[in-house]
Amino acid sequence: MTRWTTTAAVKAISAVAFLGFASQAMAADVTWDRLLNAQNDDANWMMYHKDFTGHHHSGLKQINTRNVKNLKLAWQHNPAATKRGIQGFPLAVDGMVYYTTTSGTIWALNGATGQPVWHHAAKIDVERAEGTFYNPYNRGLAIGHGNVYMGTTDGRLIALNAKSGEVVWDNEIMTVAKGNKGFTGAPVIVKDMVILGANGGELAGCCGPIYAVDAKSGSVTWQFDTIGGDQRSRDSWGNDSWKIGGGGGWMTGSYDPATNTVWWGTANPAPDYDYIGGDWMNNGPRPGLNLYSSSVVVLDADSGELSAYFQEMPHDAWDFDSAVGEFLMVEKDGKRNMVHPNKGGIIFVYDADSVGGGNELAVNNAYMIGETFNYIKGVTKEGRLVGRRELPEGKHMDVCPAIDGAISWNTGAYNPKRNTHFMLTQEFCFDIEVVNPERPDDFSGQAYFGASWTSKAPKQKVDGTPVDAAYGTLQARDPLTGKMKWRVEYKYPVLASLLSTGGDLVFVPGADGMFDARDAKSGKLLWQSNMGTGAHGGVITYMVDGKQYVAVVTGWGSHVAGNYPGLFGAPFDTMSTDTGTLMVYSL
Amino acid sequence: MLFNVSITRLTHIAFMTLCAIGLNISVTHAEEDVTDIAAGQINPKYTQYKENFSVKRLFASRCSWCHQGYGLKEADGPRLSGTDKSKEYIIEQIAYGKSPMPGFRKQLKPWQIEALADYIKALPDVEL
Repeated sequence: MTRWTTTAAVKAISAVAFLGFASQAMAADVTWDRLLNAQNDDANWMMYHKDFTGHHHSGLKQINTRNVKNLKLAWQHNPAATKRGIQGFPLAVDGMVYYTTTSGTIWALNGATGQPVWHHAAKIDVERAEGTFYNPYNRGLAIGHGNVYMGTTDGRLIALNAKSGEVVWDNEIMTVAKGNKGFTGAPVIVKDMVILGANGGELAGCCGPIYAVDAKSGSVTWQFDTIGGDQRSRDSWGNDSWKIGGGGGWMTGSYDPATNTVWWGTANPAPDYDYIGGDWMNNGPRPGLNLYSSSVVVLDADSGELSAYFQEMPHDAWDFDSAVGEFLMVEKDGKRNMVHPNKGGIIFVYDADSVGGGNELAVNNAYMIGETFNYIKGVTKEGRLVGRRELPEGKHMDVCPAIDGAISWNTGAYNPKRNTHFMLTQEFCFDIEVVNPERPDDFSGQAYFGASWTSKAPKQKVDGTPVDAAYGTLQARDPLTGKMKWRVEYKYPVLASLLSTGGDLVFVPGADGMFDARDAKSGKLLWQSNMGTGAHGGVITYMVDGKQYVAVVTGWGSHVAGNYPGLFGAPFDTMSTDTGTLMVYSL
Repeated sequence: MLFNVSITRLTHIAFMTLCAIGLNISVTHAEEDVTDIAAGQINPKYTQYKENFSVKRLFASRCSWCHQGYGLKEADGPRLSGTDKSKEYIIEQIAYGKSPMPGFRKQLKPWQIEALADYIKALPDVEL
């Protein structure tokens, strides 16, 4: 086992440079053709969602249900600057592993040994970046066309030579004039473009853009404004409130080659919460539906024009946005379905071919996976909310789920052989007092909330079963029908992403630092390892020289994680929020 | 540290104290909201800048993401009630931040920052 501390790693970079370049020399470039066919390449994990099916599934089965008990730590890497833990997804390409840490640092390591090859720390405009409360976050990178791409919290996109780590270009994409916003999500490469979305949501300002940037030059090819970008959107925000309406697309979406469309989830409108209550179509701080916030937008990949959309939370009154980046392509009986989880605990199943013309997506099914919700009574199969619980000005007790949602931003995973979608829920609530908020200036980028709250345990499940503590679930379902196959309860809701493998395993990085491998068929716990601290980032698998590895990032600290000391006490009351490690396991 | 108890507990203590000293006062679920009391002390000082100014409204609009319960509960950000920091320190912290807390000097007017600092200092050492 090799353990690399930051200091040692930095000192070692020059020493291992020759080894690193030698390794790189054997690597082929990540071309668009390779990315387009990534679902057939299980030795590598070349993009955030592994491939454009969005399954987070690898066919690798060297590690499987029979031998996973022998899984051991192969190596680990401790980087610097891990405030609020590591939240990104590592990528693995041709024997190399790349990952990002907080504040925009990329590490390139030998995938078999963990030896550093190069690293790059972006020079962040701290004053600008720290104008938002997402300032240390970085959730990953994209690789292709000879480069590695990373967005930054001060609104830049950086291209580094994948072999040397040298800066190819470093461009400001978002200007301060549109508010103090930047990028926290991982980009995704589509053809010769790098696609990434801005954060926003509860940050006042306009217009929550999604960008396509030329991969070679760094210039913007197209821009889609998630709010205020077309007349339909502007008409859905009374009193020109779109100018301070938030929006954005802060997680990584996907691409559907069959229709040449980019699929992206958008963030919530600002202000969070609406004191006007049920009269939201006519009055309040943002009268109307507030398109295209809390929606799925489908964009023509070449032009960025709106091909289709569906607003999952019309006039979002709870901050249950659609920014979850998971888009699962599931084909059945000749039909192509795009499955998308929403923060409110709803799974939407879209007709993937109902695109074109800028109209609403057709919804094949929708169902709830949260267990303690009461913000709505349910959802129809057509994806319409039933029995909204509006939150007018004043105090509201036991609203479930809390602002953190029933589903957080990390992804589930899908085993295509078993047609099983593994998903996580977090079950906790809050008491909230909704106020008429202080309206910020247009385009200011200021925080714009309309409430104060305190998180708490649920009192009961939807079916009336009493509950006396917050908890989480891991659920295995048919993604199209929602039929439950098995369910495991977690004392502490899991905030990390999941990994499904051809070895019939599902890997679960726990909030308490326990890393689980479960039987995909039954959910039975087959292996567990203590990683030393909680996880809320990515997990992948890859192969080097015929050996399968599983890589997972650790580190704790975020808005959602901030609830845990109050909800659970130990171990979260003493869990560090400024550490993180890349842990790599093998047989 | 004078208190480190819940609001409910404080109300209960107040009720029991009143009973113990024999006052004939009927207490009917009179929730004593310490954030309202603190805000009531601060708001009049700042109505010169804004009519009907409410420091709790400002707090909810800008600070609630990280500081739950109007500052009474630790979450992503620390509990603010009962702080031993000086008003000057708090003003500096709000204005310039300290990662991951953003600085608000470009978003809030100086009197708004001072109002928030006054409110935080006025909160008793109560925890939700």
